[in-house]
Amino acid sequence: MASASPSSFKAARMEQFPRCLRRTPAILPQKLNLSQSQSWRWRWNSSACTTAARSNNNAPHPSNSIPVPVVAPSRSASASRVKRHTISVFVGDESGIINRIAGVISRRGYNIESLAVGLNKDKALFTIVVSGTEKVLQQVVEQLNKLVHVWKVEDLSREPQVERELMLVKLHADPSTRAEIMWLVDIFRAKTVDISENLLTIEVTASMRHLFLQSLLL
Amino acid sequence: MASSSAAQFSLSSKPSPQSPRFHRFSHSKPTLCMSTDYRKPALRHYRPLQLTNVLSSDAKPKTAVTTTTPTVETPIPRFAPDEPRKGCDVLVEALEREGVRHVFAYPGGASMEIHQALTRSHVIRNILPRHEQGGIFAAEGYARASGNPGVCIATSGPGATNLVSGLADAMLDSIPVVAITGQVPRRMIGTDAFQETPIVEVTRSITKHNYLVLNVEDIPCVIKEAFFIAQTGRPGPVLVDIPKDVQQQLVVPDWDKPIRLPGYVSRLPKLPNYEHLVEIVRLISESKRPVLYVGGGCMNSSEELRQFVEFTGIPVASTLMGLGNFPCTDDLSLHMLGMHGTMYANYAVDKSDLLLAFGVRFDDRVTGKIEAFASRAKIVHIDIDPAEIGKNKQPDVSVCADINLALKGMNRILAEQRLNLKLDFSSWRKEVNEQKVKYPLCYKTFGEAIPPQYAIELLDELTDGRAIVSTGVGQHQMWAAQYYKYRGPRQWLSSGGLGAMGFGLPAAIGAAVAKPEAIVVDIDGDGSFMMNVQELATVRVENLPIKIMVLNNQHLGMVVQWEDRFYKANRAHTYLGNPSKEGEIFPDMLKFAEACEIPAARVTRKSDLRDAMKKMLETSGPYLLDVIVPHQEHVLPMIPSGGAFADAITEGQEEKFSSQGTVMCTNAKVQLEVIASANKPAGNTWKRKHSETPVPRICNIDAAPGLPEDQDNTLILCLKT
Repeated sequence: MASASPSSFKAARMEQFPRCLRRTPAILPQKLNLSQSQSWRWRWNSSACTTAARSNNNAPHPSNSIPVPVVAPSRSASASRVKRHTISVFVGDESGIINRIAGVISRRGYNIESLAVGLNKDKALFTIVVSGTEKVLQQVVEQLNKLVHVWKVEDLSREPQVERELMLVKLHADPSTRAEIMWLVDIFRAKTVDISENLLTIEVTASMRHLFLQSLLL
Repeated sequence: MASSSAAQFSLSSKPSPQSPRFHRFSHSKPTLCMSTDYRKPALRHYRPLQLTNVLSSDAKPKTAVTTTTPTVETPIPRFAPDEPRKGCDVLVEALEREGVRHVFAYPGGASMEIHQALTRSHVIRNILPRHEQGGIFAAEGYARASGNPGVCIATSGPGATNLVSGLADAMLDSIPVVAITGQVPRRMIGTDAFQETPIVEVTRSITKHNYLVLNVEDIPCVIKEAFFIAQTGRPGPVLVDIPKDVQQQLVVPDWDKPIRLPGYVSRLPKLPNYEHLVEIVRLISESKRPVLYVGGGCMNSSEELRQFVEFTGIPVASTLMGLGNFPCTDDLSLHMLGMHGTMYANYAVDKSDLLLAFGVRFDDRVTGKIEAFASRAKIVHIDIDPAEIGKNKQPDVSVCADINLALKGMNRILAEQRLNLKLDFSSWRKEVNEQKVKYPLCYKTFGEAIPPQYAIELLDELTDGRAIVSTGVGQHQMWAAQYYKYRGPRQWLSSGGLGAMGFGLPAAIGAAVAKPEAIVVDIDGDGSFMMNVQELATVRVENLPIKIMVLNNQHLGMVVQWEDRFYKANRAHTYLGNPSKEGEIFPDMLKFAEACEIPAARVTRKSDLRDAMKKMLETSGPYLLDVIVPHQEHVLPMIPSGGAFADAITEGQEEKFSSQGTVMCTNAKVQLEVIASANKPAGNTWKRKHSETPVPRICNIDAAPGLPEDQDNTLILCLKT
């Protein structure tokens, strides 16, 4: 259907330089005491410059006139990379709190990879692994902060952290294969926690996924 | 007892803003255990009656209400302090203590006890809606018009599920509403009992918070918390679900139990950082083309906003939710921006180099294509909700604080630095004013047919822009937003975020209850009006002086517009009349009004409109005016969804005639023009899809419905291409 855009605006647009060339330099913030909820944000010019250059054929090439900050591309690239983030949520206990927290994250369309809850009398601590970009994570943290019974939300992936995964494996083990299994278990510093006639239960605690062990055993 | 602050009484003719009860709290240091004394001591248990001085120029003179000290009723305690009473009585007393004077409750099996308790209350008055959805929309209208939380009560099961639309609407528009629902007895929860729905589960994501009360001793604390959560921070709906056996259980209530919301209270926004405000003022002084983009968050800050604009001279573009926060009659007002906003407001935002976003959330109806929205501007975002900052558009400077305090701080800085900063945006204002002249809001008229835009302009003239206007959703809502010049906040009541049809009439009921002296007009469409038409009974029974103006085009207007523009006018279930009797107006709204004993009239001719409207405004009590308008009208300007300012559509006449459909034309000359212009393919898509020029064929000629037969020169042509 017809989209009658006023021709005068388009003409004016075509004459203009790409946005990045007309901008004043970004403000350099002084070190101010910022509370958690107030922030300064930078506007990154690099992506805007390239798209503007593509759309405006008349305009001069941006690289000739203004040096584009070199740092910018990697920062914006990392901001849009999908990573696994670990969030810790400390809540006052309430019936249905797990449902509430899971609901907040799924309502915004984000995916929970894993959820672990520890309960203590009337408080609970959630450790949630969410995968997404920086922006997604920021939104998840803010939305969780909106919940009334939440006391604190922390993003653990930013700080140095200790992380462990625990795997319990139940194997069918004849006496003939048992020795080999136990030798493998020994190499990976795993523990045999149970033995019966045909079964063997192994516990592996590691900070990384021991895919080797998994594939060997299976 | 006189109230402590003069701001509560309205001397001016705009509806008085709600006294910010919790602003004082947000200054103080948050404590872990809250006492009940967070309210101003003078207002301990009551809300003063708010009397407004609203005059209309043409209507019969209402008594000019001057301010009087409100007669505050002390709730007489009905029980001795240590007398055990039922949970429902505790609930009602808790509501009285929160200052509630009106509730919108519809009874049912699980909420009967509450209704019995309400009859025993001398302070709370129940306005009975005829559908729970009408009840919660009325509570919303009450909250939007007065600023105090609206309370609605429904029963379990179907009653509670009928509240869902209202809760979602309150959530998206940030309106303080407390909904109380009955529930089946505790031992029957989870057993699929009669009229049981897990309403707490259902409404988890559409309420700010909700409660299932399992202990009767918790009732005072829960109600206190509910009202606190509903009103503080970013307001929102709260639902409290009370099982029937809890309502019937006897208890001695403990009114002094403190509320424990340590996390929530610690995260309430603090005072804005002074350096940030200084930085924003510095940015304003350095910019050449600033624009203010204000929204629903500025509802309580109209005065401060006005002063800010006075100091800086920055033009103001408002969102749908923010209409009236800055008076639309002012020169600096650019009226509404966004998908159906004015061209000059969208132009100003597009060309600006500094966008001051106060109390807005960069909704997709405003921004369109987010990358192209305000692409040349530095963005300053002040909002009370930290989750909104950076959600859609990354700001350069953001402040998470109450806009009231931020504006006060900036006004102070501007007043101090007035001599140093020479803020002169007159060339920018001139540029924007040129656009105002070049692309004003306009519409075409055809003989005696009533243009809906004209009807709203006439209403604006006759009520002097001071009426409280509530609308349904659709074309009439957009026209009411564009053509009525609101002078103050809390005059415009409309479902913005959710866009719930059927909002108009119940919201007008709530507003009329909240502001008994004001003129309340419900501008409705025939589709939206039909959705909650049962509330006419409530209007009559409560004798609320609501003027209902139905812009009747027999179609679902907004959907028809999109069908015309994007689906080649293929009508898909958008005709609301009777297809077997197309010439008649169906349904007859006048008969609905007659059934509820409300005086009504229909008007079809433009020349009769003024008198009909005057009669509507002058008749005391409720009145329904059925205004027949043509359905070919489109809301313009329009930026298609996902489009940028460059894609804005300002004209529409050619498209109307070039596709299959019914055209109303009023004289022979136009007839020929119609056929001629129909030969021209309109727009690129048309050319691409149809290789040959379509030739129209007149397949039917009819007299226009509702018009007298002797009007020869008004015909309806059905064109087929």
